[in-house]
Amino acid sequence: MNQRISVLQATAIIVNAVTPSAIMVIPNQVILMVKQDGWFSPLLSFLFILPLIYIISGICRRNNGKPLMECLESSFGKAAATGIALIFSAYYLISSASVVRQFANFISEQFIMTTPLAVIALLITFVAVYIFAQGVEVMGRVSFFVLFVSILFLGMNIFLLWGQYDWNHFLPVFETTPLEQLTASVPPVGWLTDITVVLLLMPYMKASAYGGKAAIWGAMMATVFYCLIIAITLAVLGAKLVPSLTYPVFAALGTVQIGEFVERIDFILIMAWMASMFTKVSVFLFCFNQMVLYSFRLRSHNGLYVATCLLVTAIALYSWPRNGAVNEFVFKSLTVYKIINNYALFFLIWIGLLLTKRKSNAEEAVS
Amino acid sequence: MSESPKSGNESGSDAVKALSNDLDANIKWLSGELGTEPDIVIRRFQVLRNKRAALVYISDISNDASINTLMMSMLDEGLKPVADEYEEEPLQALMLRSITVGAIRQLNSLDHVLLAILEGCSVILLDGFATVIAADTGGSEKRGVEEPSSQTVVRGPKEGFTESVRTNTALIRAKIKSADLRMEYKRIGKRTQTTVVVVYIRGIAEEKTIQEVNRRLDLIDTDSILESGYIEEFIQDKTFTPFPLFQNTERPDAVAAGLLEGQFAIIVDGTPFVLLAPVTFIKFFQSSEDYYQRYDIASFLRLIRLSSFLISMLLPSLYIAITTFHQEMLPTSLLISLAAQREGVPFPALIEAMLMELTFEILREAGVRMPRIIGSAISIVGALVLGQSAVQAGLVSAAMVIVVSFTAIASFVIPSVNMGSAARLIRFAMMFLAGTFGLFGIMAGLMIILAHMSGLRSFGVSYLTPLSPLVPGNLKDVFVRVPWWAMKKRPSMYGGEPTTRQGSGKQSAENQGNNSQEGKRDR
Amino acid sequence: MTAKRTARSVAVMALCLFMLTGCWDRIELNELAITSATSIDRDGEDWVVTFQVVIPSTISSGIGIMGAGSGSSPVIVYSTKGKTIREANSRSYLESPRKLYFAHNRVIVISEETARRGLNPILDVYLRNPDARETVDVLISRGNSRNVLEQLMQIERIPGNGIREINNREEKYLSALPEVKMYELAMSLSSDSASTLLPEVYLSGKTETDSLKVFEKTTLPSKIRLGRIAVIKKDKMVGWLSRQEGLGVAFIRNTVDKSFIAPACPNDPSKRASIFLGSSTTKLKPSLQDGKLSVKVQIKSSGSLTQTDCGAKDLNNPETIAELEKAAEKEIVTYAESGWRAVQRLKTDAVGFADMAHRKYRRQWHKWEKDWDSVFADIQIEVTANVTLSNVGLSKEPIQVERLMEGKK
Repeated sequence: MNQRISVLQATAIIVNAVTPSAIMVIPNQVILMVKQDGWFSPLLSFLFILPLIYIISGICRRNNGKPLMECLESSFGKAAATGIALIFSAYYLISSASVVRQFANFISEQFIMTTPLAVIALLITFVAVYIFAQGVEVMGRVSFFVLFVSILFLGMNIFLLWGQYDWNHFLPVFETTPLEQLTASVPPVGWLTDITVVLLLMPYMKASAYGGKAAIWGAMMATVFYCLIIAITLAVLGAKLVPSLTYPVFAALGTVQIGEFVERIDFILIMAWMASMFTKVSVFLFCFNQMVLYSFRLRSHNGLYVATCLLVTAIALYSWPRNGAVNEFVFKSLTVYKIINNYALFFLIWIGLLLTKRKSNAEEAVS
Repeated sequence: MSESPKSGNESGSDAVKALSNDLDANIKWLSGELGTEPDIVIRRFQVLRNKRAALVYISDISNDASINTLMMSMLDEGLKPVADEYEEEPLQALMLRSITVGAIRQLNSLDHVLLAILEGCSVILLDGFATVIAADTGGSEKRGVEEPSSQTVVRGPKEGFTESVRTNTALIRAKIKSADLRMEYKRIGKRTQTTVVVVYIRGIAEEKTIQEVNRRLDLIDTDSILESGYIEEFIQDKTFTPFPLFQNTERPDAVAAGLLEGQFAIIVDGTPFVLLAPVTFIKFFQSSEDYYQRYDIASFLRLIRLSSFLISMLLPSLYIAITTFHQEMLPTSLLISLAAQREGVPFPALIEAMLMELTFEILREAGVRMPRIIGSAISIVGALVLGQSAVQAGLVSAAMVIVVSFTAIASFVIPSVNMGSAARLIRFAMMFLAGTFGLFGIMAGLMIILAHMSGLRSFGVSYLTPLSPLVPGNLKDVFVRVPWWAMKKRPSMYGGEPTTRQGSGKQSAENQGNNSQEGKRDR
Repeated sequence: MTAKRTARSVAVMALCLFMLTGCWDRIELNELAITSATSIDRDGEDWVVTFQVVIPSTISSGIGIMGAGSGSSPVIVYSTKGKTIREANSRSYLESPRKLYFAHNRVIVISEETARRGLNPILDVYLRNPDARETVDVLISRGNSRNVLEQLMQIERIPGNGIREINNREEKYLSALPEVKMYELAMSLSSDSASTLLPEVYLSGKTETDSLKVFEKTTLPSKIRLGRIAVIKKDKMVGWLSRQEGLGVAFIRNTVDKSFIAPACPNDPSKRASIFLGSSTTKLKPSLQDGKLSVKVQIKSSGSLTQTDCGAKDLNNPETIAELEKAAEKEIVTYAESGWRAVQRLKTDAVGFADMAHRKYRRQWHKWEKDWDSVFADIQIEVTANVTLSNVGLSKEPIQVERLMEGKK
């Protein structure tokens, strides 16, 4: 069971964890606030995410290839570590449930309207659990594959949409105030904070320094993805129409029409996007599983997978009474939750680690 | 010891039953074990003037000519005067002077003697000695080397393996004349005592893999091995998978190529199908002809094969998903034409597709099982009755017949039959998913397959190497085959050292030619 | 080991469940009523939606099982009425044996009355529902739009597709009437200028061609044709432009791809030449003087001479070409100015100057935004055109029989 993943695979896992559900809502959120300057917000948010990457690589260097929780246990003691693990369990449970629900909603609204949501959600979690139950190595490989295919299809779609672009939609540049820009960069920051999943992949990386590397590459790629997606949506649909659409990206892609035959090419990208969503759910469930295993001192077990599958499906289905409610949740609460949980909590952990390190250094000096 | 060899046999096989000094006792035991069937020959004679001896063999599996020669030589010996120094060691005398067979062994235990006889050896027993000489006079009827029936090529060697393990090893030895070529013999199967040979090239195949395969082979505890498929199921890394984890081939050149890339081969006596492992997914799409043809056409064909695999796995399910869930993906004229064909078809598309696929599978199975003579009857029934008439009768739509036949043809493009059957099995599961969830179901199915394949291993080698995990150096022979001179290094994915195949520097004649021309110009 | 087995059996059971209960959304091709065109009329406060539904078996000539052959009509047309568009749609279940299917709907024809009363509900329907595609062409009909859908066509068996093809070809080769897709309509109505142009489709001729009998003749008594251009302002239609005005507006909007113009001959105004414009681009150069906006419209085209009746001239002579070019430029300027006058008359910014102003004068825009109509009314434009005749065709002088005879002597 000595599984190892490469930096490339870790990066792919991060990108898959950060991007797919974000590209569904980010154009909407950002363009609503800053109109035609939306493409700039992800770049701005990348700046805000840099300190987090620093923290991540700091923690990575500190824990030296051990699982995150063991490292925290050795620094803060068992009780504190269990507490932290519980907080994270809750976070990953809620996040994955919301992703499952978003995914199921999309499938249900776009393709199979009368199929019960429960069945769709169950299939999603089943696939996701199957992927992560195969181990981190498999998750890394699947992520890499999916990322590759997504980039390929995204490139193809960008090319096919060429006739649809109206560059005037970007003008006038920087009409919005810096304050508006700052506010608009919050949602991308929220989504980007999920690069912290790399910390849970630590024990499987070849060297602990790779964690920071994967985080920065992952964040960069995700930023580029966000920018591209927002830019495409803007160029095709314009700043005014986008906020009124639920899935502007797919609406933009749906406008491709070249001759009689090349239509609905967006399906190809939607297929890649689905693959990416499955991977995302599996990454989050993996994190959830890790945290639960630690909190309750459990061993990995097939029954646990079935339980995870059912639990997440149930939460995804019954936490939000209406499809609109989950959008509302994702738009508002989840961003804040992500920032608090990923950014603030890891910042505190980092500070804590620094302090305990100093203390232990001091103790060493005394002795 | 000699009085109750049987009881010893029953009490436990661990105790080695030694031979007796008494010729008669030995013969009595042997005839008791072998029975008195007409093909068991126990021939008593005298050698070295007055020594009593016996030759025991099974006539059906022995080569008459070599036994005749052996007998003649030994009977001659009986007439000749014997030098004194041999009086003391008659066995040595026999071996040194009169046994005409090359491969001989000295055996001490009754079990080994029995086994040697069953293998086709002639056993020479000499009175007064507890050691016998087994001479390899084996040679039953065997098929000659013919063109392989399951993997044909347009260009390339036309010889194929036979059922005889000796012929097969000979064919491999003929291809690789290297002292590093190793063949480890094993006997597996308590009753069949089948010869199993592990072949590899020392220095190219990874040591650990060879140890592992030996370990797994030694763990097999069964009474019979009749085909290499038995071995495959016993030692493969994962049983519950539709994907083959061993490559099987009838072609010596394919085995040689595999050995040279670091794979090992398992030859099983009695079957022309030789196993090759470790194996990766892409290996099943490499035909040995790829390496004999020009690289450009070979690359093109490889891409065709990969897409055929996808087609044979996904086409019916895509058809179901698109025509029953996502009609908007079809161009209008196509949609109208398909809709017109479906007018009056009583079944839903999923049932229609299942029916047609099952019909095809039945036809195909019939085609494999039936005697060759009535082959044309099946094709007429299949093509005309089931295809055309079903459409005309309005039972199925013409488009569905096209889809199913195209799927069928695509599945035959895959060079490896067992990978083709993987696609067949997956096809049905995908059709169900497509019929329930449309494209979303197909995507879910694909993700499961992808995760499953990523997790598969064949003797420690990940199934999807070199794609995932990505090994850029090995991509030269995956989707395209680069020219031979460009494949400087051996693929490293099967473990072992990535030794060089070609010398450094460009080896193509084109390049050398250019250089020489430039040289001329300079002058 | 047993845990593994339970997990596996649970998985298998789940899969079985999926399969047994499956097929919620499955709809077979022969359960679909493929709609090729929709039209929307108003009847009092009610909406009347008309569907043109394709009958596949009459169109596709495969091994048709129920093949009715080419003797029967390729489409059926029926209308439903409701308080909303979608309610009208749903009423179709009362009379249609199949489920209406809109993804292959090619055109939506909106009656003039409906357009004058507002397009919002239509936009909402198309942007909200995944089954209605945003890539449908929008056209306006004078009078009742149902008549347009009932009209049969000769070459194209499906009239809906035919209308779309006509619209598409026209936009490509004439550029006078735009081809507007639903999402483009939504985009331009939500832009700063909040207005757009839609093509008109109407029936020319006396009786309706709704019976197959007329196909026995070579000339149909009535035909579907494209006519004028409807001007839409803030979701309501405000008026019509003639085709000439439409081409002029298209020049200003920079939406001309290819077009034909027939300028008067420089030497003889009674005769005309004909020029095929291969490509045309327009640059708008706004300038601000004393708070008043004026726009320089610079049109740059290149084309080829396809016909000339302009007396005897050597077409290889650069001066002759220059004269012809000047005539063409004059023609284009006339078009553009007439288009401009028309949009000013309708007080509608169909030329999209608002977006230009927003981009160029960001600060003033916030002031203008509230009362753009009055600002727009004050805008002065100055149109200049630059035509390059790159090709004069295969004969180097106008063909005139008299001169050819002289040449023979």
